[in-house]
Amino acid sequence: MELVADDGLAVATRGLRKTFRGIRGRRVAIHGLDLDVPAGGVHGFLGPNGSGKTTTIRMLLGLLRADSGTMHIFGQPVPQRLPHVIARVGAIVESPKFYPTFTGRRSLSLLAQAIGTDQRRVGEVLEEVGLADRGDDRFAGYSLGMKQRLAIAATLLKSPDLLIFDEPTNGLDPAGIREIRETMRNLGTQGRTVLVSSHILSEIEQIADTVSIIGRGQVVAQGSVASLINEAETGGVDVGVDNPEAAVAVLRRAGMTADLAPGGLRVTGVDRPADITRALAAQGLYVDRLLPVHLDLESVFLQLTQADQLGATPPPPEGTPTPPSAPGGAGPGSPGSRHTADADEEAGR
Amino acid sequence: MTQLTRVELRRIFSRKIVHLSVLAILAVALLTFWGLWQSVQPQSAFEEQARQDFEQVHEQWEQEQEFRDEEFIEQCLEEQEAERERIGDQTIDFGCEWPEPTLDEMLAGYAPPPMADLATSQLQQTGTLVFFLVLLGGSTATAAEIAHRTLGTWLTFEPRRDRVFASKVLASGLVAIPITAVFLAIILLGVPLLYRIRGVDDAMTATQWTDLAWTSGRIVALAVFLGMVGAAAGLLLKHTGAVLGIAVGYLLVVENMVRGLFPERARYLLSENLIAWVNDGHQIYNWVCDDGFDGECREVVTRISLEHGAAVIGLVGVAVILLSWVVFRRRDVD
Ligand SMILES: Nc1ncnc2c1ncn2[C@@H]1O[C@H](COP(=O)(O)OP(=O)(O)OP(=O)(O)O)[C@@H](O)[C@H]1O
Ligand SMILES: [Mg+2]
Repeated sequence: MELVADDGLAVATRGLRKTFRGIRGRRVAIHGLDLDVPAGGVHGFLGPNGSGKTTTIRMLLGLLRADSGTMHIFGQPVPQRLPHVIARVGAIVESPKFYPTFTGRRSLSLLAQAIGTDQRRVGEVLEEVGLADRGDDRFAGYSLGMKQRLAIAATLLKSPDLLIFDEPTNGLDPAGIREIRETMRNLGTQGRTVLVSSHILSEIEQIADTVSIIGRGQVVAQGSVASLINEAETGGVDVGVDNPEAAVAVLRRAGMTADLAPGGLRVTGVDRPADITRALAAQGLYVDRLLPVHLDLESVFLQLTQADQLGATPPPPEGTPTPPSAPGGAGPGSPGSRHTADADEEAGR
Repeated sequence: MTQLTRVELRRIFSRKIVHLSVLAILAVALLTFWGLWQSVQPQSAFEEQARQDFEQVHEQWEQEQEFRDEEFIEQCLEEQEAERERIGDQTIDFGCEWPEPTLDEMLAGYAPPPMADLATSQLQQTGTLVFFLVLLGGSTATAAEIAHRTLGTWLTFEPRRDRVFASKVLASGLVAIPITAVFLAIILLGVPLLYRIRGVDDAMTATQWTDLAWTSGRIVALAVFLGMVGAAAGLLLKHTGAVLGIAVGYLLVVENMVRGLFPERARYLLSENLIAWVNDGHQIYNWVCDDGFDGECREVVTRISLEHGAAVIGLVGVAVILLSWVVFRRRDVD
């Protein structure tokens, strides 16, 4: 058990594994997942469809049993101590689920009674999410956005310190999306921790302070949004040259990491672009274009998750400690495929 | 724990299905009393009716006499006599003539059923419906939560599965109490009321009331238990349809097979033990024949005591609840 009491983490998992067994055989959904969610702020949990976001969240909430590994919420081991921390955790897993024939108010009232919360809180949280005037309608008659807001209202019954939202903007219209994002942002700035899963990058980029990227059941990158983007940006340079093959050979001999790219080549791992021009000019190769690569979270995400899925080389965000074996051989299940920007992140805190 | 059970009770009573099952009981009670209306009438009213019937029948008989065929009757009687001698049985009747109907014949054989007997048999018959209702009611209470996937939401508020399980099962049992009470009240108050309205002079003695009270108590206890078993089965099988299918399949297939193939094992059948519990003991009659074409057949009576009924029903029910609990503790919830 690596984690004890207060280490500033709202959620931490180590070596988490989950295998689903069905008639068609076994499917390893989570492969040794090491997730760190710092306390306070919004943490994006980003991954393509089927990467294991929902599965991880359900394990954290004790709905699924993990095969192995450890999980902690606010330093308490779960699921063993879940009954003690659950009062501090509000969660919506996938879509909101309530009895279709019950009114929103009744559903909340039952939940409030179960945890011994004052029934007056029900009216307050309905007010908070803007459902006060529709609270007495049946859940089945709610629009998707209203269902989502009811679910958020339910989590607020507990006044939680950690909120877990699994793709909360799924199926909402732009206005609904903006509303939910603002809600999450606000919750995150109230000193609470919001863990929000999504496969929409722009969403996470907008609302998250820190992010974990997951692919095939493993964390492939973790850190602040800014650090993930910046690190990717500083080291990459696109070079336009007449003879890219020769240029790649020259630069590699000079100790740089160079690869062919559409329209020329891409060099990573250089601090000063001038080094590139100098090295090439010395061999009679003249550069006609030199562009720093501007990555957004989207590119980082695609690089990491696609590489992971295809088993190809993931060009890692620069500045991250890259295990020597990681590129190339890193398939799912190999510990090398996890890149992390944690170190910088923790230092900056 | 009690807190959670209270919430579960509130949840169940908010559901339409509970209201519907109470309505179903009322409807069945109405039909039952409509049927009883005819069989409970005062002797005088019955005699009046019988006299009218007699006059009609007698008139018909008189008309028939005009077409009397003496020759045919004589021949018929001769054949009858011959047959009687051949078999050696003087009661053989070829129905050669229509003997004159008498009033006494029509008046014989009726007396209003004793109130205590009627109340008891009604409790036993309609009780079966209540048992079925609470079993299904209990299983929908939990299976619906799985179907609507609200169980996951619930567990994020109360992750202690033992408590969640216990409160759900207990609540489904407790709900059976008011439902069964409605049904018992209808029978126990309705039967004396029926006798009074129909002007039949009968009353139950204190001992008869005590017996009825015991039967009622056993019905309530069984209903509570079946409600709990239903809730556990609903959680285990996840669908009300599955619970219903297994219950009906068991009654139709398994029980009939056992009755046909191993009649001596009938003492372990759930339905027989259920009856034994409600009726304070039960007897099963079986014809057991020896092998071979003209083997001897004899009636075998199997007695099931109240305690035996309680033990068998209790063991099976507890096994279902335990199994469901063990599975629920470990199960992945959507
Ligand atoms: N109950 C289950 N039985 C079998 N396999 C499952 C089950 N639940 C999830 N999986 C598998 O586990 C993997 C991860 O699924 P999960 O739902 O966690 O993905 P996700 O990241 O939430 O995806 P999405 O973005 O589509 O919601 C998938 O391959 C999925 O098929
Ligand atoms: Mg998901």
